[in-house]
Amino acid sequence: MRSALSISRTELTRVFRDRVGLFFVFVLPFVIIFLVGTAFPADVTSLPVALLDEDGGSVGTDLTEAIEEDQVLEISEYSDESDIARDVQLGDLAAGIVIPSGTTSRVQRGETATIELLADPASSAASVVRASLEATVQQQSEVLSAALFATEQGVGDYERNMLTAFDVSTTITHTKVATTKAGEASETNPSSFAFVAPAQLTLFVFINSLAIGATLVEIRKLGLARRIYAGPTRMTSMVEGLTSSRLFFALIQSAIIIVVSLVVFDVSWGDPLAVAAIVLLWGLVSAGAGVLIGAVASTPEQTQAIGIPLAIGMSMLGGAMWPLFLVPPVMRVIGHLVPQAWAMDAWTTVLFDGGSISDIWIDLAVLAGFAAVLIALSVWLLRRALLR
Amino acid sequence: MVSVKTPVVQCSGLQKTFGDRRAVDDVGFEIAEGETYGLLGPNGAGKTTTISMVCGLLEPEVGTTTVAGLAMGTRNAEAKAQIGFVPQEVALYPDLTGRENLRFFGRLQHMEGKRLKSRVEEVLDLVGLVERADERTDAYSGGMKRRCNIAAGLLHEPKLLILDEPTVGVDPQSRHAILESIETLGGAGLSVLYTTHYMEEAERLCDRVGIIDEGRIIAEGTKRELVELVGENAHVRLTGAGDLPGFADRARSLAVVERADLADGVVDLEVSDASRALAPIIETAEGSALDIRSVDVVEPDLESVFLRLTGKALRD
Ligand SMILES: Nc1ncnc2c1ncn2[C@@H]1O[C@H](COP(=O)(O)OP(=O)(O)O)[C@@H](O)[C@H]1O
Ligand SMILES: [Mg+2]
Repeated sequence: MRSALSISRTELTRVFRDRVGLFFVFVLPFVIIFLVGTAFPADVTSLPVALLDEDGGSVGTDLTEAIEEDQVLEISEYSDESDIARDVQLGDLAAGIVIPSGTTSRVQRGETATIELLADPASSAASVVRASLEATVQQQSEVLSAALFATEQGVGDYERNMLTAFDVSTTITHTKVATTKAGEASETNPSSFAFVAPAQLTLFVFINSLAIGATLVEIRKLGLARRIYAGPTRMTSMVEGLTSSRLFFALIQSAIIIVVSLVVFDVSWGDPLAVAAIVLLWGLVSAGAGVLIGAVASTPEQTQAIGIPLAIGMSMLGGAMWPLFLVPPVMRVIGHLVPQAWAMDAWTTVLFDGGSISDIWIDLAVLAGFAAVLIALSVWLLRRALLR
Repeated sequence: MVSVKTPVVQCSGLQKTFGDRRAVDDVGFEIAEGETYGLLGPNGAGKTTTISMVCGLLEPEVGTTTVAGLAMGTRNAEAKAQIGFVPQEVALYPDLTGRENLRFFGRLQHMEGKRLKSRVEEVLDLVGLVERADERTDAYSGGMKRRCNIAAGLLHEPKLLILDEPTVGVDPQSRHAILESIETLGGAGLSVLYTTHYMEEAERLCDRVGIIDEGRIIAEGTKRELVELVGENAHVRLTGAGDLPGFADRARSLAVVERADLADGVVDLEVSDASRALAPIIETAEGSALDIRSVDVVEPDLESVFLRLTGKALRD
């Protein structure tokens, strides 16, 4: 145990001593988060969303205007809910928004109004639409409540009851829409940084883990492993030390990205338990992949020459460079062959939908599966490679 | 009371095959406490493979090793802790300093605190690296790397030091320093297993030498024993002006001279004992009116033993 820790600590010392490596850990992720986060909204204006105003009253009209101003959504007005349902099902629409009749009168009576969202619950585009819609509704409800508060005489719970939104229907055909209090809507993240920050975490933790496979190749090639094993250190301790150093590194890198993006870019990461679970599993997946490449590469340079393009390619496929709802459905399916897609699904649910562990357990289970396979395989290969 | 000391190393019947090539075949030897034992053989002879089995890096197919009475095996941490292993390659972290490397390897030997600190300084001093200890080892010269490599094997004060060709590729000065510190350690009672393909190193350092070729130990003993084993004699080489063939004929009839050859103006006389043969040879030369220009005595060495045993040179 102590030997494993010594080995692990020494590996981390080496990683943090490498200037180029530090640039990848401390600088580049944030440069990219800043650049992409700032540029991002322009990229997703193409999200096609239908809007049907059955209300016809003043609240419906104001909401329609506000929704149409939303840069993330490309709104087309529909007159029939079943057309919306059909086009959502066909994939022509990312989602459909229905403002039910009587919304204005409900609001004026001080009741809770419900906006319906028609979408495929499994689609991540729907999450973006919902987050965006929630932000708009929240804004509208504040405007409205201020106005009503000024004109009427303090009728109870206006601010909380005024408008509420939205949960995705479980089936596409009729929209059993759950309601949440308007106050909760502010916890979600309409900001584009909320996509970019976890995407960069997913990208960089993985890239850097592959890149530091280089230190592992050195340990094999310079005879360090032989020297360590000639002493009283067991093979298992050596493998544990080398693998755990990569996990620690991934956790440190994740923590840095989370804290900096929280402080600097105002990204609210959502349920801490869910975040911790994704970070841990992603760390294990990345550590496994890092050890794997360190066990099979024949020169330190190879881990970077192969690892970095590989990590970027996987991130493109898996939606850690751009959201998967922008790509054709078939690419979405292919994308889920790489673990990045499952990590990004989990992040989207947690950051955009305020999801908790129970909402992402499938993603977590798949990530755990990737982690188990990668670590088992890499440990097996490493044991064989170390003494050669 | 008589105490029978168990040898520090006792191995027998070691065998290892790679593919269809038998790298080590029925190798066995013993090393007594305080003894320096050399494995002398050309590249590819099986030296590294042999010591890998002795220090528990490789599991032999056949054969056993005990170190300080403990059965060696790849999983026997207790037996491994008796050994300080200095591998053939420079096995140091290039991006850590010399001192950091030593502290790391010390911790792996379960050392800590004051003892670790003071031992690191001691071995740095022993190999003359105190002043450069805080530089990264990739900034070291070849010789300094080698010395640091050795230091890492000495930290935990092992019973047995195993060095695998520690002077390959170093400048003469570093080489001298390395040999000197190994002599010092051997003199201080450490048991040493030393592999080399340099005959001079084996002769200088080792109390006993095992000559290894193609995976087998073909002869073993002190230098004197080995020389006697193959019946190798000393040679007296003489040059001069005058009747060299006549001198060669006369010298051949001397009792102390076994053989006499003349080639390229040099008379080569094989003698069983150079110190006794020299006087009658010079007398004969003077009696032949030979004007002696030079006389060299060439004592038999392990190189000639190896040549005699295998029909090939140690180095090509
Ligand atoms: N891991 C290995 N795989 C295959 N062949 C090996 C391996 N290690 C050594 N050999 C072969 O075994 C023989 C002895 O090698 P080695 O013990 O390294 O010799 P030495 O140290 O005396 O130069 C050589 O022919 C070498 O090529
Ligand atoms: Mg060798």
